Amino acid sequence: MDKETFDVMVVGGGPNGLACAAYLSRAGARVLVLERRFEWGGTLMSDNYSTPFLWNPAQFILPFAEALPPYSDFALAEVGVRFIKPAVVMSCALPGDKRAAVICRGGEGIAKDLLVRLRAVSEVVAPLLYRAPQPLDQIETSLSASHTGRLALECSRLTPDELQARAGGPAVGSMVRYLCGLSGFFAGDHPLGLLGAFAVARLLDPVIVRGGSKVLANALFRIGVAVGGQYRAVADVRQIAPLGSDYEVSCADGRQFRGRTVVSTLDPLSTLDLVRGLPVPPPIVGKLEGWRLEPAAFFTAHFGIKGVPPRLPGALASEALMHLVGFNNGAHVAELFATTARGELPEEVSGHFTVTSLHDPLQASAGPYGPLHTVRFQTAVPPTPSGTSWDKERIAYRHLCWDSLVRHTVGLDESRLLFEFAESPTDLERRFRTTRRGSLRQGDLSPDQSFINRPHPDCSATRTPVPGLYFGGGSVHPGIPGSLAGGYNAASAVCHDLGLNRWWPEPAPLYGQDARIPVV
Amino acid sequence: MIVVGGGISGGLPCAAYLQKAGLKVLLVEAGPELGVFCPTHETWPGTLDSPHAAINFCGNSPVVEDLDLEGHGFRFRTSPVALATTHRDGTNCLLCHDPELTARNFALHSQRDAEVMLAIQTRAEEKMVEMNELAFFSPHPDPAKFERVLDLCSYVTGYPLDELSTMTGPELIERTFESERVRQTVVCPLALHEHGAPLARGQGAFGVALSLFYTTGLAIGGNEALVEVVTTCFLESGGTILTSCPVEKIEVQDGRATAVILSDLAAFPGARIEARRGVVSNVGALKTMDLVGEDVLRMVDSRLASKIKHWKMDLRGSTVTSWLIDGDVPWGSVDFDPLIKSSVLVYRAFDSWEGAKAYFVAMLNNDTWGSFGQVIEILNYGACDPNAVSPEGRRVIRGEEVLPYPLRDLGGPSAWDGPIRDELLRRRHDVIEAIAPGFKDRTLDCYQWTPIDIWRINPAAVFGQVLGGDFNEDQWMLDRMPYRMPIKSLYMSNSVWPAGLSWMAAGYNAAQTVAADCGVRDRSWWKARPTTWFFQNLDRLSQPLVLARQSAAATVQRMSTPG
Repeated sequence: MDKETFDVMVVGGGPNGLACAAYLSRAGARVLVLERRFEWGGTLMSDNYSTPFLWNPAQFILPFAEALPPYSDFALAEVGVRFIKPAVVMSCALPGDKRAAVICRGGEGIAKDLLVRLRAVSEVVAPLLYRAPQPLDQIETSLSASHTGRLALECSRLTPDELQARAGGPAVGSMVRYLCGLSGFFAGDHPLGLLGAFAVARLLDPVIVRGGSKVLANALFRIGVAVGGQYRAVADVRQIAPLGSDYEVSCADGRQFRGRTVVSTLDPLSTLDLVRGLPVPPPIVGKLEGWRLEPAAFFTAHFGIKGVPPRLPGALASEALMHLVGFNNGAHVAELFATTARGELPEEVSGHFTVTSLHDPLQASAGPYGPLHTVRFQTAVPPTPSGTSWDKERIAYRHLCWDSLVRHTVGLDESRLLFEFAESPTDLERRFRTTRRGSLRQGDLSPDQSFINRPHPDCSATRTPVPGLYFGGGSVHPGIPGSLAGGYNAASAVCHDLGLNRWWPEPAPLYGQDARIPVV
Repeated sequence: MIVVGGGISGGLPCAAYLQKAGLKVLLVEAGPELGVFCPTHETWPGTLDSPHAAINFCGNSPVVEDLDLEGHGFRFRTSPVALATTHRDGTNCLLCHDPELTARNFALHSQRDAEVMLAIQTRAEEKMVEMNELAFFSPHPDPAKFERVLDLCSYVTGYPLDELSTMTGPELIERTFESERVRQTVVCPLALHEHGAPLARGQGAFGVALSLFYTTGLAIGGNEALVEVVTTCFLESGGTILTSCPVEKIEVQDGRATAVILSDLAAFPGARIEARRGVVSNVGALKTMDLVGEDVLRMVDSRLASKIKHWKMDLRGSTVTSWLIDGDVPWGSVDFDPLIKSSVLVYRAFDSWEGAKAYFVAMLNNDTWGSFGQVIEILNYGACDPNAVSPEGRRVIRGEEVLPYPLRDLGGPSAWDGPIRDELLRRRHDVIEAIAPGFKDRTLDCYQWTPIDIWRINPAAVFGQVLGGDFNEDQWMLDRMPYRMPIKSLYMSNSVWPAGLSWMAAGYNAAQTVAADCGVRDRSWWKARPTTWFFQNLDRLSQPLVLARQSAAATVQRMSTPG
């Protein structure tokens, strides 16, 4: 089977690679997916119950639920994929606040003025994801023609500092500023742009996959297999070389595969390494080489605890998906981001925690001797702490995260801790490799790295100037993690170019009356 | 056909065979993943760990050829050493796939033992296929085959059957071998408590004989690769998988299993799914009776209902530790026989022969600290699979031991969550250090699962019993769950004979049983015999897998820092 000439070879079996392979397999292509790791799903990894607690170190929150085109295209509901949409998104109580401020699903709790603009961004950008990008001036022109579009444009010109100032109070402002950080925007004074604002806006409607994000990856994998896709794991692709009119892909263990087209879903650095022997035009190479990653990243700890879950003191917000803790005042979030962007390790840990099992009971075992709960704690950190390394600091910092959790919640203590697990940006990079410096999105979403600039006008629509070579990962338009759009768009392009059967419908308008994303 | 539970030993291979044979099969799994006890973990990035199903026995399995696992990309490697023990006195014993290699190592202990073992292993080799077919890859109870198995045990060990039938495992070993370390090694598999009750007269000795018929190796990329490839075969043949769908009830009408009902936690809450041909249950004896209803089973077979009600699961609670180390594991016996370095499966096996015998007694007496640390099954994946070693040269060393579950001397089972966790880790580290000096210095981190954690991972593994039930005098070959239950159209693929392992024997046997009943057994592809693939390809499977080093260019960090 491995000796045949495949129609499509997909390098990378993460969310984009799996989506791409499934679409093309069903279109009739003979597809091979090559994944360096031992398992599929990439950053959709969730440690599958092989502890009694579920670890979700990377892509924990998705931007869409049923609106994800693969969801309806592959009838994922029929294979049991279910989403959970927490009603309360985030809580924050600053010292002196009588009660925690909350942001509810849809953004309620944010000042109306700002909220209507964020919602406008959601509405107008969603339709732009699952198709080739237009130049920014064209987008702006067409958006200017409608009221919602204009609101969205206004929002896109705001900086994180401005978002914070307009959010409606120190606590709400802190939360909004924090959401910017979660979207990869740590500096306060650069405009978010349309895609950046979109990423923030989607966090107001967070979606988690029931049973862990790996469930989504499993579903895509199984569907792909059922329609004839071939999948090879521990296949560390080292080179793509031309072989006649085809390509030969070589792996670290000596395995070689041959195919007519190649879709690389890897990050720019890895992609560059693979295509060394191919005539990729210098402007593209230059853009990939100069690709910018976020200045800070996140440290993610998971704690498996026994007994009732931790709660906030005097909590009225205990049902929020994310609780901010450890922030002393309205400026503290921005300070944390600035500190970490400078490469410094904060001594006191502030961040957010999620009791995942409160939202999804499947994220911790029921027992025996339960209840058991998973607490997921995240805090912003430098990708590499200056003067030291995450190898040296990881376990100590994990302890600091636990201390912070204990300090800021009620009812937790060491005797209830059964498991602890922590992932630094270095660990994330080692684990997935495409997550350079801990970036889940393969590079920041600033305007100069989005739409046709993601990564370069000559390949942002996934086709490259090299015939048969496509880019389909997070570093191609649109770059919204969890949207699967990179893989979707590559599949569309390859399907067309190979003359295959485009069996799936055009993505629905995704707004207005037919909205699959709730606008209100 | 509905298969409840997608474990690697039973449900998953059973489903794959039956679907390929032409039945329409639905595999329903409570958790989000299949093969819950056959995962690969990348707990520490760049390293691979298969903490539960660790050493891989699929070399014994006809499944590899019947389903063409290699054609689907599955890769397997073996070490020349099937099983090693390494001791505090700096010696080691290496049971190798090649009897001559074993003899060479054993001769370092005792020339007589070397010759005896050579003869035994040679006889075992001769009967390898036949014994596997009769003992492991046939649906038991089958009294005729059982008799033949005992005859083969007698032949291989060299004792008349009537003598063998009155020997415990330790007695057989004492009479056969003279060297202490050799004895400790040959009795080691018995310590896993899956071949038979070690101190039972007859069963103990037979268990020793049966342990000679295993092959060992590793799935490249970790054991989850085996789950993935069998899943692939199932899906390719048109099978349907539902995960995150716990089953609450197996519906029985007029003495026949007719449907399953999903629980309220399932992705399709409360759904009733009809099973035209029947139901295969992979969730074990206790859980199956729960699903069917004890009263329902009792009406059909009261004796079986009582047997299941008193089914013992608490003798051997699995306790697993994974250590992240820098570099390779520093076995203390490298100078004695350097082949230990190529060993994937290495046991810490008792301090002495007397200690070994005392261990078996301690286990029976629920003596926690008396059982502790005596036998640890250690895996060094990196000896066989370079993918398991990180680019920084780190690897996981995994150790499993079994301890009696009750903890009566220490406060009862809830104490598994308490300070004993740290105490076990600390003491176990000392035990490993004693056979691998310098291990502690190289240890960067560790992770532990107690029997309760194991149970929490898989509700079928009550008390942390991962093999479907204790192997004692009442729960051995002819007396485990029948594959064909007295309730019509209900089959079992767990709590059966043999132990549920990565050789997928339980699933294979369940498939044979169902296929025979449904008239779909006669398939041209369904013909492989156990162990033949392994031994025919041994040279190829013993070739080390080599990975090219990462190119220099790729490690250069060319990313600019943001302005």
